[in-house]
Amino acid sequence: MEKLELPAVEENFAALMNFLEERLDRSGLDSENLMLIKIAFEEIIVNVIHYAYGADGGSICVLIDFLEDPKRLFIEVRDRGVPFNPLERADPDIHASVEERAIGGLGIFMTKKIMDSVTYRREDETNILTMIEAIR
Amino acid sequence: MGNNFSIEVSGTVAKVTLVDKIDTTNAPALADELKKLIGKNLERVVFLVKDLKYISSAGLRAIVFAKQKIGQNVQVYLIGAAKEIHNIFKMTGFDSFVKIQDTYED
Repeated sequence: MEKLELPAVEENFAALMNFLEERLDRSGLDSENLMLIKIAFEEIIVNVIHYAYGADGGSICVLIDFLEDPKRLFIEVRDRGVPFNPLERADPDIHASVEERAIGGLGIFMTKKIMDSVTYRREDETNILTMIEAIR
Repeated sequence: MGNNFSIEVSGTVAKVTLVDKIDTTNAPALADELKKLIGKNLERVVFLVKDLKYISSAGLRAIVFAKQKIGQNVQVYLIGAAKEIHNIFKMTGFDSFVKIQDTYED
């Protein structure tokens, strides 16, 4: 298990993405899956950076691991901000006409579509979002 | 293309070239530039994306914005998308209002 904890600010977006990318490079996943997992991860960390904390700020913690039997990628994103379960948000209607297209909720919808499993729990005043993707 | 995009307007057509990545860091600048197209009586906004390798929801929001705000009758095109990018448009239902083509001719 590898871990990176940084202040949850826009300036650390690239460092957080790099942390994931460097680990994905040795995952054996194909290029389409790599891109999709990066998108799923971006949506989650951007949510934390933008919404988890008020003016005082706080940290974001990312944990990445490769699990065996069956082989899968494990990503966990933690923050100690306001309790927020992004999975409770209703999915956007992707069949709505463009005029009626709501702009919100698209990111978390994509994350749920991309990853095999996305779960949320609140523990020790921490939001914990766990994403798992099988490596085939 | 410091922001990974460039916009060129000719008559009623705006061509928007997107390269490499459109993510949370550069999508707001793209949306700002697209806003400048409001009121220009455009008929088409053509996204040229053959060298685009990554687009997150932030980038998709900028594209929906193009369709919703630039004009009721604007047709949005996505040209030259790699399979991965095409699949994102399908996953999100964006393929229902964006014309996806391999090539574009004026």
